[in-house]
Amino acid sequence: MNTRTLSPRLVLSSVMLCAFVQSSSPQRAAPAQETMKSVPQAKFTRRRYIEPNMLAPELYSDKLSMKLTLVDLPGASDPRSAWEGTYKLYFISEAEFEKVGRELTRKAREENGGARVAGWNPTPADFPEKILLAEGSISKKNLATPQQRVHLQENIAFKEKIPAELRTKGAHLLSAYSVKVFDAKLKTPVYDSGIFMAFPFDDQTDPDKIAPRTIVYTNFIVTPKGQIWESQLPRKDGDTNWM
Amino acid sequence: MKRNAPNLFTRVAATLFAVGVIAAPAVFAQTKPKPRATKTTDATKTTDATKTTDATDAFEQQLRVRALDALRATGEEARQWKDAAAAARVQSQIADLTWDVDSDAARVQLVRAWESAARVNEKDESNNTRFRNSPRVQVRQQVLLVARRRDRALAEKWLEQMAAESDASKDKQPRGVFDDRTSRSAVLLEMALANAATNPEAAAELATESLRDGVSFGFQNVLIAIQEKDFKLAETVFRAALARVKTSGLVDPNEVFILASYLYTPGRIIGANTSENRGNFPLAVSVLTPTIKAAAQLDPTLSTEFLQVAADALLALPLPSAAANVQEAARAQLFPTLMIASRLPPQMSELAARLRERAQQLETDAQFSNVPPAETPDRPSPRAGESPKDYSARRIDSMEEAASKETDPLARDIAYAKAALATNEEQYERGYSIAQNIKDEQLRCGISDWLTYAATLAAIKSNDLDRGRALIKRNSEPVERAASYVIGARKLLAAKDALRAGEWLTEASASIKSAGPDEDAARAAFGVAAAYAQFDQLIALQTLAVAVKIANQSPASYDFEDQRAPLVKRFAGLAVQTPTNGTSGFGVKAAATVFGAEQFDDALATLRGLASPEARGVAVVSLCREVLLRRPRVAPQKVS
Repeated sequence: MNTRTLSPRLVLSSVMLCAFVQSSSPQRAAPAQETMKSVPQAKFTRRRYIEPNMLAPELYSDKLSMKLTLVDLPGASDPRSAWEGTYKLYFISEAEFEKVGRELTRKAREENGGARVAGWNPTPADFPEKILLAEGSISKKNLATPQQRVHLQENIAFKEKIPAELRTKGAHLLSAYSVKVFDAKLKTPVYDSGIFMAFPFDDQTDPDKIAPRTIVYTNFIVTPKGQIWESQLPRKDGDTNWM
Repeated sequence: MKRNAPNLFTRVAATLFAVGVIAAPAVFAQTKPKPRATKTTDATKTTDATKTTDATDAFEQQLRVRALDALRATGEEARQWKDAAAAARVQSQIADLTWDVDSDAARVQLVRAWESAARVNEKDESNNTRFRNSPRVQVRQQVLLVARRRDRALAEKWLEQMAAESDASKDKQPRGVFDDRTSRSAVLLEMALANAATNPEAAAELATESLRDGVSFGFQNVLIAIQEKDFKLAETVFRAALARVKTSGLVDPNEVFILASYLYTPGRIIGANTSENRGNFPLAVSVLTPTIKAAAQLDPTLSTEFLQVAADALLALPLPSAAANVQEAARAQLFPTLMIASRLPPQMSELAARLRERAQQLETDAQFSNVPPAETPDRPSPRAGESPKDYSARRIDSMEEAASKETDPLARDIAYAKAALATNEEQYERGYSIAQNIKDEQLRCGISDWLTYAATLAAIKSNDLDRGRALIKRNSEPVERAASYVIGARKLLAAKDALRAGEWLTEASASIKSAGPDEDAARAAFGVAAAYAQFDQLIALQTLAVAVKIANQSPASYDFEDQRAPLVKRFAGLAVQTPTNGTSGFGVKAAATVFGAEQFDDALATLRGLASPEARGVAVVSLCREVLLRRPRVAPQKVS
């Protein structure tokens, strides 16, 4: 084997921010944030046109459900496997999202001597005016069946908690989660934390129509190699396939 | 390391010939009067040498016969193995090792290897969207390497079979941006890479053959490897790729990046950006920096030819509006187009203008997001003029600060863990200190030991054995302590300090005793045996027996090809750099290759005690391979 050359097995793949191409298309379109991590984006990313600050109370459901699913894990049938975690669901108004985004990028630009800044880091702490919709914790020990690996919090008041003037199409639901899954087959605890952002409406359950979102999904799967993948895409009950 | 194919027939014949040449004077010498005991003549020297040679040759031949018998038996057993990948590898090795003795039987083994490889899972389970390494293709590569060397017709037939399978399953799994075009091209390029150092012409032929399916990611690896031997030859292969693009067009715009990488930035290659964020590029970087000079510097005309061909091919691509995914197609074409336009020399300004015009069209279809992408706490924006060291320190500060602000206990622990793992070996104390903020004891210990292990291996690698030894004692994981001692012992052996190496290995054995009998402990124990074999074969055999005992108590199956130091996984889900990358000499395969001819029978008997049939087979083949591929004993130069 020639050890001096690049080989696919000896290659580190990374994503790099390259700045050699500048933007030239000033379109007003909000990004589709809902992507499934670790799977080809093209399959799931859709483009949406969000009219700025457009009131859309019809896209806000009265109640929300928070559905966290541990889709599968290698040691599911082992009674020693366990799943614990915490989560919070916030509402971020469109105005605050834009304001915080602008403020943080401006601050970062100043710190960088006026250089163009690639982005900002959305954490719940960045949004002082966020509205807490729900919070909870999970502690499950029997994970044998798909039904036993679902945590559902229902009847989360939504529309009534959001002031009428903030019920715009471009607002966000921010869910923050931290989980620890002990897989008895792998004999390893698997940790994960992160956030998902979603629009208040749902155009994924039925791609042909836009409807008020009723369920906020957070799905996890532990792979045989001990990796953990996450997604917020809608999924059917009992389905243990990830893709 | 790949070795050249053994020519057993030639070696056996040479041995027999040597015996014949040596034996004749010996018979002649016996007819001479006995020399006086007080004076040693040339004739007596020759007689003694001949007798010794006879005995040694007989021993060698018997050894080979026993090794070949063991291989045949293992070949038969391998048909029943559950682990198809291990079976295929072992069967192809057996075919290779026995080919010169019995080519018909060896061919049967090789066909069985191909059949076993077909049972290997085709789908890559790693979920890596940039590289999709099919386990089946990887195993087939090894079988085909033997086939190409031993029976070219068979190799050609199998390659065609693979091409047909690739065509049939083209759309089943999406391609990774750094995938080779087809599994056939992947195999051809892997074979080319394996041949490049010893036979660059054959490598060039294989790489050119791979162009039938387009320009693959691995193509630039082979070009670099060929250029290390012969730049002109690499140039010829590169021009073959240009000819292919010129006549058949681009299969994928990434082909432009692959060829540009070899020309301008060998060892560093970007892929087309198909994401919403225009600043995101997949980048592959060689772990080992290539030592060659960029081909465009050595021959600027090659660059001009490339730019012309690439520009024409990009302009000839159909507009993305006809594609199934317009945005993705436009994004994939946009960046190669801009890259070529920016590299074109002033005399080709007209072509550059056409490319820029095309880029404007693509820009509209690409529809990049103009909202900044979300950063993660572990990736703050770099500041102007900031050194990598300062950036790294600021990044860790930022991550630690974010962790301290977290109110949820589990989220806070995970955030501290991520901050600690972001430190490198030089920042060990900082990382260790951050890890102590973690309240979850299991996670805290796991992270602390991980950091300690990485720092230990780095200290040993830089020959700072005192620091290495001090760090070993901070690691609460006995298997990692044992592995660290083994690696340190090897350093000491390299420095000819066998006494201290023995002490370190004693410590390693003691650590293994305190660990539970599992796969990691077995791997470390095999590492101890392999290290002892460098200076004390007797203790090596004893420790090999201990390793076999531990392996038999372990329920887990082994990755026989992995010879890195064991890494005890005490947490998962958090991104880490594997500290054991670059280490070797652990596991059953490593231990089986270190025993000499004199220990062959004992080592074989010990390894046959392995309960797992696959582990036993891999070990036996590795042991026999070493015996059969040994350098043939040199016959005496002077025979009177």
